[in-house]
Amino acid sequence: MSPNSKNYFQSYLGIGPEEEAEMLNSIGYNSTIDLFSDVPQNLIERTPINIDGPYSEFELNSIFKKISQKNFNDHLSFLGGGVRDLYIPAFLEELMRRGEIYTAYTSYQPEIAQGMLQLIYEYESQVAELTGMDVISASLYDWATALGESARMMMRIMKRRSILVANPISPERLEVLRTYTEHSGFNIVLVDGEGTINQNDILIIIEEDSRKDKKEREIAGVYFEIPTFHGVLPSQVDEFIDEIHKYDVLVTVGIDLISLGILRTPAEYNADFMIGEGQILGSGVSNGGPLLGILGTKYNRKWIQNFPGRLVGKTTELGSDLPGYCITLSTREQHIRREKATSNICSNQTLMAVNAGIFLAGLGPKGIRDLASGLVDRAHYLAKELNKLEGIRSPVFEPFLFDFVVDFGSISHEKLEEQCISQGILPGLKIEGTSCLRLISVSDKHRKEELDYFVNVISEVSKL
Amino acid sequence: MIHKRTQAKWEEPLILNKGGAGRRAYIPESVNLPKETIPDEWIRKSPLELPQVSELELVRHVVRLSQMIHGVDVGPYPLGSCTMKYNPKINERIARFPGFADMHPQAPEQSIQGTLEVFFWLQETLKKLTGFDAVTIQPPGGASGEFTGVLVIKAYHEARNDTKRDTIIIPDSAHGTNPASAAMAGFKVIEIPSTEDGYVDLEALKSVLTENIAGFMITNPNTLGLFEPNIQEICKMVHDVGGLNYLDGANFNGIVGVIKPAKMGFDVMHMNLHKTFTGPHGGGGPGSGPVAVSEKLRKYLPVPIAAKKDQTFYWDFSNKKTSIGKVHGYNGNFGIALRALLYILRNGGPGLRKTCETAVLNANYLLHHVRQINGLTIPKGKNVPCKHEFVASASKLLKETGVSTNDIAKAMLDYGVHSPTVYFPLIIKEALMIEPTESESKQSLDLIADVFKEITKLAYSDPDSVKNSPHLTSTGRLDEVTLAKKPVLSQLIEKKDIFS
Amino acid sequence: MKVGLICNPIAGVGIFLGTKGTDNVQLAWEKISEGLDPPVYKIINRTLCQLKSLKRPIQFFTTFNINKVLQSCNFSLPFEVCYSMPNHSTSQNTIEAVQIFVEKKVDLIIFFGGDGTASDVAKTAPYIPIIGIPSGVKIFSAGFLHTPDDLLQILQNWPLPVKKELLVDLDEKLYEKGKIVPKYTVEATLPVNPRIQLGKISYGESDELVYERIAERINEDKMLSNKSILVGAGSTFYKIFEFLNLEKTLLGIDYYVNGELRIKDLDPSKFDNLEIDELWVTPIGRQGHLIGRGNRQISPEILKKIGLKNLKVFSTPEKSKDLEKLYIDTQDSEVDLLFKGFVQVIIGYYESVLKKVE
Ligand SMILES: Cc1ncc(COP(=O)(O)O)c(C=O)c1O
Repeated sequence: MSPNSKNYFQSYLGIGPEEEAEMLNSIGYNSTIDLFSDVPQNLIERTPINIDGPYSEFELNSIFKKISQKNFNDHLSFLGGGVRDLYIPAFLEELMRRGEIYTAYTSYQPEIAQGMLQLIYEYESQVAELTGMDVISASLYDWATALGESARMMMRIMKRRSILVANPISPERLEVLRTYTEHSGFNIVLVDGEGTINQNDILIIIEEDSRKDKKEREIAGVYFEIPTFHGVLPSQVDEFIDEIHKYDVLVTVGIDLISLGILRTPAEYNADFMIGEGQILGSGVSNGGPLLGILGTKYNRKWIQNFPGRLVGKTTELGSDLPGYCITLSTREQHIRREKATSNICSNQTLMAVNAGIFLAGLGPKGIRDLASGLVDRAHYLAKELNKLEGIRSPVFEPFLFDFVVDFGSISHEKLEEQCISQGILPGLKIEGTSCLRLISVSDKHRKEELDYFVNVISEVSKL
Repeated sequence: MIHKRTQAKWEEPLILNKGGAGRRAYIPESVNLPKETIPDEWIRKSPLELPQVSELELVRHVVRLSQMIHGVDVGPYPLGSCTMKYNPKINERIARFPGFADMHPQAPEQSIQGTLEVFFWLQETLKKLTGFDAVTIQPPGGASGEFTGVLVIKAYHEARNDTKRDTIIIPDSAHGTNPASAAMAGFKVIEIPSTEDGYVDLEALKSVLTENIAGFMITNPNTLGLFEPNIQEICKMVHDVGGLNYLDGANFNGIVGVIKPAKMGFDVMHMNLHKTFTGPHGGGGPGSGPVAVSEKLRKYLPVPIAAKKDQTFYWDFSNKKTSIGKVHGYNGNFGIALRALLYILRNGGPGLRKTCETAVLNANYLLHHVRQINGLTIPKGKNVPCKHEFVASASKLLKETGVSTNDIAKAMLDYGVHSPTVYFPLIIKEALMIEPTESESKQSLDLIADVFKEITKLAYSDPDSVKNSPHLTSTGRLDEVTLAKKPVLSQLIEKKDIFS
Repeated sequence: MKVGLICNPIAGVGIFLGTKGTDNVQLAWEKISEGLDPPVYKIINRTLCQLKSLKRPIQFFTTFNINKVLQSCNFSLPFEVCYSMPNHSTSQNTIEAVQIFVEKKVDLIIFFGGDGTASDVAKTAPYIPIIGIPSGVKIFSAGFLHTPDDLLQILQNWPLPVKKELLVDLDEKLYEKGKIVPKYTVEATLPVNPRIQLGKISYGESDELVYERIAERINEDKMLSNKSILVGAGSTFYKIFEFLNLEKTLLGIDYYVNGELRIKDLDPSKFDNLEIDELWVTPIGRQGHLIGRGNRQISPEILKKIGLKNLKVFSTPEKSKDLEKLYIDTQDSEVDLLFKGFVQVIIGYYESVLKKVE
């Protein structure tokens, strides 16, 4: 190839070689490298750095098509645990390709970004409607970091240094929570439960803590998930949360947003903060990112001063009644008042929030109910069918919603995975335990035939 | 007179207030299975007033709204420190290949060889570009990268039982995320003043260098768009007292392909893939903030890291014990990492070098023209070329006409040009931070300069017309004050009428 | 160039009366007749001695014999006493003297005094540029030099651009109660120069969080423990200490030992016997003075003992943002020099800002 034909990058440059010379000349330089005359010369690379490329667009397209095809995305997947591979309607994908939307940045100049700001406000409003929480952050990175932020926020508000976490929780979320807290002297106390929240032990620990001198108290808040990481719907959450509140301790719940199409909202059972994963609202699992961290709370001026992430609000045009939208309360953010920053988050997952907003609008109240109950039906059917197989216990924990834990008995995880993958199946998430426990998650991409196929494959594998 | 642009002005109601009962845009796949019930105590009681709209209604709504957004695809976007370069469309296509978009992050390694290859390829490439020895792609944004990097510094000192080091030094020109990240990691922060010229004040730095210093965080090229001439000496001074040096790589576009950051004396850096390597900015994100470190810090990085043995890729957890832990539930913003890799490969070494040089040329060309505008001054960098961006001040204009930086920013919008970053860095009064990027053409740079010229001229003849701008955008200035007092943050708050 | 030079002989006496101003003229003169050397003399001496290197002819109109003051530094200046201040002078005498300056068509009036003197001068000569040499107790008005040592530079570079600005004189009674209420305001013509201070504006941080977070840091770092600390005046400390659940006077200097308040509103004569490990101060808003305004009670001797190393500076972020540099004006050049360098200003739970002290 001649060197010239390797100039594929010229497509991305605003000026051509002749213009370059002209512009240099007009500002009194001979060559572009002279613009680095102020840099210590020992730092300057004399030749281009030796990395792969340049590639043509066509080459990129074919190389990466091949790479993408190395992934087993066509396998029948029962992986979940926080993200979920749901179907994405075409109109949504099409709309998200609008360059006006994805090539903009933070709406620092609201006058020229009304569309973006309204989309974000619609996201906030719909998630508020769905969860009953008045204030929704737009946005945090993912569920796990939302947990980290919410734990820090509870400790800031209460001026205490510990958080109780109900286990089961996903090991990944727990690890991120630890990174966000333990390096700066905060404590995470895990309270183990059998598939569900160990309400008893949590209350005992809080009660003990509450007997300390006010200044000595440690526990700022409790975190648990509904359904739990093992898929279980706990019972009598209202009473549990009331009890916690009596001791002047805060509550953050982790929820599955789609479940709220049919389940009671965190506002109904009076949680203080709500977090969750927004990826399930219309974006791909995308190898784990970009995701969407959701955080919401009821309106409370003092808490909101401690609330991380951008907030878009509704106001009016100066001198008219026309509505307008803009970023507000930005003194909480590091770029305005660094010393008051509630979090370091700057770039976030706005595009995913916009995506989620359009998805929810597309679903509407019926759609989300259908989607949620469709998942319930699939999960329960699958759990029952699996339970019919010899040596398999399914579900291990009840009552469950969309996801459930299956005990595959004496078979090893490795063998199960190997066998299933060879049959075109990704058999859920491995769970630490003494036997072969896995978390099975369903998707709206699963038809009855696919669920039956999974059961058949398992039936064969378990006979091996 | 320069041609102005009128932005679309749809009076589009909130989607929640559109539609009619029974309309549906997306009807999920139904399944032919027995209906299951959930426990009674869990049945939703509150109303669920989501929109009920048809597919066309929804599509029209979003398309109309999109016409009221300014993006790089619409016009010049010289937003300093944000590197608003072109977002290649091939990247969008490839990121949507089902193998990438629909793959679960926790699938067994053999089923995600493609994913691992992308991570691995990007890690190796970033190592070469930065001169560092190890890279994690996990941090999902620049600030998250900072948090990661600062924790790595902490872990390094702690592993050596050097526990007195509780302070990070940061110049006063730094971005607010730097001190916020350091604080999140449990550090104290000392902010040091800059010199008259806008560089690190070596005297000031020296006066705070003690055995309590864990590290020094700096952006280079700095937030004034200037390369710190003493950077090697600075890094050495910090090393001499046992501290580590952190580079905020937000401004990597000013040196990428020309300078390897590790050579300046840094131990850690983060990159903003959404800036330098064009992951689209998405209206505020997603970003991606990989962290690169020198050998001695490798073992503190978050795990897992993509690795390769023979022809097989795998997740390497071998540093789990020493690692600072995870900073993202999975492996970061893969989608943005992939786009960055595509961009880098399309450019190759020669292309990135050309990209950087062109970005710097464009900035200097624009600087040359802005410098001559009455009312604007360039307070720093008197006798040196800037790098990829520069900072002007409208102090003079404000004094002479009452027209502020904010007013200029607003007036620019009427020309279809996004405003620069304003009032940052904090050390420049009435700052306008201007970064044209290599993507802009000469015509577009001339346009930006002419727009500044016309607005400042108008400021002297008819200041009120500038102060009342913009006029042609989808809305005029908004009542932000009332909003801050009564923050209507969702329709639910409106419905509940919380503030009356 | 013609310069009017006037001195309020009782300026600064308020310190010795334990008041925050010298509004009570009678008491002040009593104190002087009891044998107190008027504190302003020392300042006059320091200010005028530097004019030895003045390189332009200036005709001074004064209210006292300046060469008497200049004897100690072995030089003299041409001057004319155009008004002689009676014993037990009052603000009426200041006004009369300034009237004569106006008749003499002076280009500039320099006065030794505080906010009270400033407003007397300004109201009599609203169109003549004035510069104050800080000598009073309350010095919140604009128009004062940051330090007397800058006078030479100002005169050398005269004429300077001028602008109109409102001067305030605070109500002393209310001020002691912590309320910043201007007694009256006067319009003055002030030279514009970085060596001349801008008026103090009050930083009523609407947000209590700021103080709370500084308090948290003090607690967490156990800054009060096992130490004897002098804590200076100002609303910043007043509010921080509220969050520490410790009493703090608004305008006095208080003495804490191991986290307990020992002596409230210290009398300057008692300082000498105290053991002092640290001195905590907060800069005056917009002016940036750490010592020499508001904290005038702290004598150069004490400061010498404490040293820059044991000076801790606190500020709200807003106030700090407006201050490029900090100033020490102890009325003793030697001590001022001791405190030159960089100092860390604690502005929040985790953040400090390094500032240059001049
Ligand atoms: C200099 C600098 N550092 C850090 C950041 C933060 O990066 P991010 O927005 O990706 O978190 C920015 C973002 O604008 C920046 O300009």
